[in-house]
Amino acid sequence: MSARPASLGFLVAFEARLAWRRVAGDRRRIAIAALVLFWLGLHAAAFQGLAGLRTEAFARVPMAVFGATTLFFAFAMLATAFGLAAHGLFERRDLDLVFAAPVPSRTVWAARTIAAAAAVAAFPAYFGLPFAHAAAWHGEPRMLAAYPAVAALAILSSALALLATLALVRLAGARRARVLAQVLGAIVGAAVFLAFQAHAFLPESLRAAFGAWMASPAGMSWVGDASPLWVLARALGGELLPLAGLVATAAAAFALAVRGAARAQAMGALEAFRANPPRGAGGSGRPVRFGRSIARAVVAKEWRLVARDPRAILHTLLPLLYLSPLLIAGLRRGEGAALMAPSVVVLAGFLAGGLAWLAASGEEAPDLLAGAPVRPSRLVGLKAASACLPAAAVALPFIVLEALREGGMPFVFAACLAGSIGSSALVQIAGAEPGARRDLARASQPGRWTSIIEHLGAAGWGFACWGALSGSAWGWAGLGIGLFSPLVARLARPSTA
Amino acid sequence: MSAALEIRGLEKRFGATRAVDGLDLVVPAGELFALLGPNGAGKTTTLRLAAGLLAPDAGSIRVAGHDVAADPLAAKRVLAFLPDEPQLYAKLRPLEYLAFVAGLWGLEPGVAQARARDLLALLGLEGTVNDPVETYSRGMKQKLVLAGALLHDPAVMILDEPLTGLDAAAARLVKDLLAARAASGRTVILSTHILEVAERVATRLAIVSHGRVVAGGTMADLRAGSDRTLEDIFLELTREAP
Repeated sequence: MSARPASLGFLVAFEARLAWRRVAGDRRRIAIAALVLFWLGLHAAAFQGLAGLRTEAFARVPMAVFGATTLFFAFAMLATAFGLAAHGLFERRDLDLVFAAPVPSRTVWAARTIAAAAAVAAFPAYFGLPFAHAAAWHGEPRMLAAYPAVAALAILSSALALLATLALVRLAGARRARVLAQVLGAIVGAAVFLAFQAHAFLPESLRAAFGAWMASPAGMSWVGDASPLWVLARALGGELLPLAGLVATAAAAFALAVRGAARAQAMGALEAFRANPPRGAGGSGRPVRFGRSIARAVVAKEWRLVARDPRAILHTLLPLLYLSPLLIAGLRRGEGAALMAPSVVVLAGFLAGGLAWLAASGEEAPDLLAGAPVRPSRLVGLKAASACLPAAAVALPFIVLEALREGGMPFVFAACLAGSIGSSALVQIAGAEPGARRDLARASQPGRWTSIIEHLGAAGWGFACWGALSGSAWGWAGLGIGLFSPLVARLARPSTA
Repeated sequence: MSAALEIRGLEKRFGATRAVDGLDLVVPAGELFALLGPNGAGKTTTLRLAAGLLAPDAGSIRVAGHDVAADPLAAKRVLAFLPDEPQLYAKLRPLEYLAFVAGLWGLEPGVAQARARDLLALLGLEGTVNDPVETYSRGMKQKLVLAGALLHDPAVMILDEPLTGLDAAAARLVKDLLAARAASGRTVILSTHILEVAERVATRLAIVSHGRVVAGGTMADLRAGSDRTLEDIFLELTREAP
């Protein structure tokens, strides 16, 4: 049965259809089959994994572990929600269409917030619910509280992100708010990751002091079972009061966000972005160098575009942020240092892949390039180079560190690094969406399948590096995955008419 | 002297749709040539094929004597193509965009820079050279793309609906500029759906329907001694069979 036109259900269903098409692309049947199969596999793993545990074993899982994991996912959901809030407010070009229709604006915003919450919940629900099901089967039915808890948490994240973005609109104007919201989302996501890594890269003395504080009564009040930090985990674990509190908070935040968005839209606060930004703010402008070299022209153009696009900067800087703990680990001795090289191989691949995506799929003037007297293969090569060079430059200090490390293998590291950077760039270029993305701001993210292949390829090279450094034969499997990833991306590319 | 554009037996299909169906067209050098046709007639596809942006299924295209299929780079060196939507890099400034275009065509830096400044002044964009392109109006973007196309002083310009979105003053400026180029011996080929523009500025016209040229020549050739307007002729030639 379909929803009544212009109702909340109708709008939510429409948002869900858009989101699903964005995720699954042209291969919806394959996507459904793959997702269902993998989910069944996750269930099997969860049932098997939890089979040996009984009620008392569940009770022995330290609340700190459960709570920290829940907090990690909660912040990750908030980070995702910020991106979706910015997208919904500023990047979708259908606001005029929707608000010109005889639909109450609160209904529209409610539908968008619910849709954003569904997108936010998708990842934790997909990976977490099989374990909740398995736990319930094995005698812990309270774990089914994950359903209302994840839903409430997703609604809360989406509503908070929307409220924060609206506050930014008031403080900084619509145009800046879009960038600030994206930056905030990225910082929230990265901060959680870095916070969880902090223990690994603290100096030995500080780590000991932190351990002593955690064992003290003051520390226990924060990390013990009764800590207020773990309230989300308790809600997820089915404790009635925290769960009711979470649902009530989410409902209140949802109502506030919908009201705030409708008000901002009615007052025209969101309009500024849709108009062209003001002219004359370009500053004095540095002199522009004209040159004969095609290579210089292409690489300079790509780097300028990345440097001037906040989303591109974020896309580029996040892997760098994630590299920072590794640099610290690399400067120290021990297990962390041994893992530095494979991790850098993976992250440098991500960086190159992100830049290559911007260069290949974010090309705004494809007809200009196609009409220029330059071989297309040369342009592709130059675009790949513009993506690989910064990644290689960032990775260079790590090669030096590896060379200085006792028993280090800088040449193996460098070879895997080159493989990871090269294959990630090739995957993005080979899998670039047909047709131009004329506006980088509109190009939300790389194609899902291309991203997965790129990440698998980079992980393969990282695994190959680890295998080579540790002498494990499993590294060969990683090498195979890394080498074949560009070919798979080429084969997986949607065919053009 | 070879024709500026010579198309023989051109065919292009998109799936089951025959966009261009055995099209023949010769545009002599020094003409301001207008390609007319109803929506879906195959104008844009023909122009994109001529510019080497698409590969034909059959037929041949020569631009200023260069075979587009056999030697695309030589053809592109003497050619400029303007798509119907101005394609620009939002975050670049006008001179940076023109520097990029100059690099693609391998122009001598000093000459290119001087010419870029002249073109920006000619097109009334000199006051906004420090602003990013994203701040430009549609008309300003169209002018900037035109400046990019003129930068290498192409022998043949192919423009797809170049007057769309321009205000009256900008449209007049562009029309005068294109007419001046044709008068100086360069060739300008444009598609337009504004028949009045074609009638007033073009030295030759061709009417395309269902992927073929159904009539061509000067306005006098098309009228063939009658006093019919271009609109009358166009509607008669492109009328769908009942």
